[in-house]
Amino acid sequence: MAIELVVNGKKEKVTSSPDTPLLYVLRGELGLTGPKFGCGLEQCGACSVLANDASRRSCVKPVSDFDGQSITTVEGLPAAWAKAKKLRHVDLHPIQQAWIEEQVPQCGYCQNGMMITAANLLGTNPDPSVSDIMTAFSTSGPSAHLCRCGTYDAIIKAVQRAAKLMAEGAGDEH
Amino acid sequence: MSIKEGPGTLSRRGLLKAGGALVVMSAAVPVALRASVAQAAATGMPFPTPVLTDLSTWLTVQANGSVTWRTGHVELGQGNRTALAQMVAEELDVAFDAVTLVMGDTSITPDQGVTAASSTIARAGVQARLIAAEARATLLSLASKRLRVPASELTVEDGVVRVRQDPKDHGSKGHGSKGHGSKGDSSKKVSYGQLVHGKALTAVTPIVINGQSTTVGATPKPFTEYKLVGKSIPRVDIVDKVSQKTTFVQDVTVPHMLHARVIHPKGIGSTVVSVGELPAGSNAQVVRLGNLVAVVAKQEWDAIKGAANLPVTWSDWNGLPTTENWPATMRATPANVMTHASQGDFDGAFGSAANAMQTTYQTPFENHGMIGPSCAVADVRSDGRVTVWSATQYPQGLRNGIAQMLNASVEQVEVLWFDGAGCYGRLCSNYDDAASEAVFLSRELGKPVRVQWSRQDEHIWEPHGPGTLHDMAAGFDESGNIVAWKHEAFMAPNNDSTLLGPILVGVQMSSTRMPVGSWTGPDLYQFPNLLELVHQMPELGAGTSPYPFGIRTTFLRSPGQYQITFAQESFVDEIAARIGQDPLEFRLRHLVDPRAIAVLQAAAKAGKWESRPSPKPDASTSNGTVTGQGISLVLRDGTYAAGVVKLQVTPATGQVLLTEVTVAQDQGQIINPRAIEHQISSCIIQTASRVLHEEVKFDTANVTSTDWSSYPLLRMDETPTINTVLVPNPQIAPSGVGEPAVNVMPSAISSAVFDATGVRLRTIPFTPDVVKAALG
Repeated sequence: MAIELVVNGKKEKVTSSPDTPLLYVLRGELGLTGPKFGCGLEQCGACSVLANDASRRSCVKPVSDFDGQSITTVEGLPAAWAKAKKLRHVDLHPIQQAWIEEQVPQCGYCQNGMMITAANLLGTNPDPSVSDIMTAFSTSGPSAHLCRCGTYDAIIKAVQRAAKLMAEGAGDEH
Repeated sequence: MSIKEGPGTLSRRGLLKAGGALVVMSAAVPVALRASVAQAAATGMPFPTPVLTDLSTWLTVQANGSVTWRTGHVELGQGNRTALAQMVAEELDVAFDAVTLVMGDTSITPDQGVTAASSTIARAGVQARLIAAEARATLLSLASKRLRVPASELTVEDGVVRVRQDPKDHGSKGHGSKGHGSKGDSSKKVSYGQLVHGKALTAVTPIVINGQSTTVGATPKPFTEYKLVGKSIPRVDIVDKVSQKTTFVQDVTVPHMLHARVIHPKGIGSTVVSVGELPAGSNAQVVRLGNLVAVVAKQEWDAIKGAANLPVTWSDWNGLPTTENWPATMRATPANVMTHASQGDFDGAFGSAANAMQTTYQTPFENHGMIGPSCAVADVRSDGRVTVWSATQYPQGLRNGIAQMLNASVEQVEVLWFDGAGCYGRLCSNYDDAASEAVFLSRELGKPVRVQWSRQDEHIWEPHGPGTLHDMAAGFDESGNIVAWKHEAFMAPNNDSTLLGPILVGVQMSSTRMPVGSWTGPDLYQFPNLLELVHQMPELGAGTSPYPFGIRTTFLRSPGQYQITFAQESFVDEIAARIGQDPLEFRLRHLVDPRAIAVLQAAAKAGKWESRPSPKPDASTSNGTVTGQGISLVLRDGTYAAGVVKLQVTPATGQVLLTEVTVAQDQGQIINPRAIEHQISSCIIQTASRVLHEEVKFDTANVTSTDWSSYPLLRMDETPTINTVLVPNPQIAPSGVGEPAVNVMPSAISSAVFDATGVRLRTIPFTPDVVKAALG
């Protein structure tokens, strides 16, 4: 039986071998380069995706572990927000809008994983404290989310801004 | 145009097949320009080398008035794409949005040197400003002919040239405007686009470039007329990075590309004894070129699996002294001793001083720690022409290196720069190991090859930040005046430029630089009898390795300065503490430079510095949690930075947690305040990571810190509150902002721990285990 995923709302039959980590299926087979290869060890968070709405690392676990699951990559965040708010189309998820307004990225390589974990956090805790945010990015997953460029301070501010934007129902246009 | 189409593959429409040559259109490059490169490829013409003194090398004005500006520098995530565009648009008098920068395409961008050492604005930006001023003068000269009005009577706004409407002229008719009949005629106008519409521009006064000096006929604007420079214009790269439109080098794929994983030597000096076979059923193939062993496959996962399962036997090599023993080994190794500064008579003054202090500081080997491990794509074609996709800090340098290692001419090679993970010097002297491996594999296989290093590859084989030792000695009188100062440093090299590809393959490179340790930066304090020496160490293990390197060490953000300033500023603090003076007051007493004094006072004020001696009266090594403050100062890359660190120490666990960090900085003219504030923030957080957590460990064979578990970084829950103060100085040329704030962190943290506990930490990193042991 072929492995099937729902990726960013679209059904996909996987042709890669079942032992292939999800990351290589997303990047190599499906062309979604938002999730990044950072370590292949679940130690940095650059490869994070939402699997059935929970932030998961995609660089180690084989795609067969995700059979039948709904996967959202950072590319799928705007559509996920549009669907949740019953909007026809949005260019950016409020988290992305907040990331731009706070000018978060430096090199930008790790930020896909950061925005995914922000989506996971705000999905369960719409008004997180600074301490909640720090916990979500530091100790809640298999490892801390790592940024080498030193954007943690900007990420904290952006998550708080995103929480406000989402509460206001923003994000329908940019 | 978009270069992405379909599954992560560069658009077919963007690929021009020409005589078997493959030319990939880079997103930022105007179609017209890339087409000319494609034509060159089709007819077997060499890849061109842009001429710096041609105005048309630097800019193209399109018919719609948009300006394409080409720079040899590249965006490393620090905002220079935006800041350079601000400087250019300002000087040209066009809207900010009208300027698009093209970076790092060796066939069309001018060689402005390596993007490193906080130099983009100070050097490449100031050079671009001069050339943009000349371009404006050239455009005005064209407009003058078209409008039949002297250039001196023309004005430009948003790329439209008009006759100047000077209110004074209305009251002074006939004064200087007689005979033109056009003065003040605002209906006479012409846009840059109408003047040029894509044709090449020739400067009215020839551009003269002599080393680092650029001379043009035009005079840049006075800063008082700036409209764009000094504004916090949002960074132009951020929307794309957030919405996943940026193509990182790791995302580049080209048709028929193969994926390679290189299996690097077991020990730093190990060579191949034998290579076994891949397991039956593997979809990969093995390539061995001397000591370069790689597993290659169409699917990346097949290459990774193959590399994990390929038996390779390496020779034993045990030439390293181990983490515990490197300081002793370094002291025992003969080295050239360079005198950085010498004034007065240190020995005499030290011998007769009323008080004396001597101590040693140590900094560890460190990683640049790119979050995305090295990656590059190379296509070496049958006609000998080469295209390389790389995140290098110096595309032209990589181009020259690849030509040399393949025994090709420079004109046969083009390097296309793409965004990469923040590299902080990892790709500035070592221009790109992965690219150097990819070209040999591509040549061997006759197909484009993508080399992606593993996390372990990057941790072990990146050229590290060098470990250093600092022997300090000072003599001072009863009131704390320093009368003698000596700083004797032992520094592993800061400039390793070896590339693994040719060395593993066995290709002789003609000019391998001899690595040397470095000193850096001028002295701010006025010490009458001063001696500063550096032992320029060879690389550890280099003497017994079959390769031209030992444990490779090269520039890491603020190289040399970081280590020197840690020792110098910590030692200043120790002397202040010995004589019971406030560390701020003590520093101010030894300073005369008004800019240094100003940033120190600004940091102290914004950081709510408590004026008193350290340690604080209730300093303790046993209480639950104790707090402290530390202050530090540096002059780096022409920029003055001062920092105040407030932190808490938990003696029972050894944890040091920064609570608030304030940095005041004077970088001369400010190009983009918000981008600078983010750079300061970046320096604070990254350096807190280096100081509190990071150390590359090694045994006798190789590095043993192989991943983020054995080489941890600072986590978000250790982020302090950050305050930044930008001290304005618009009349002074802009200087670097990517490095200065790095240097105030290590000593300020050490001094704040001392303030809290009365215990001085002199060896970085200050990990919980180290701190707990020190306080115990």
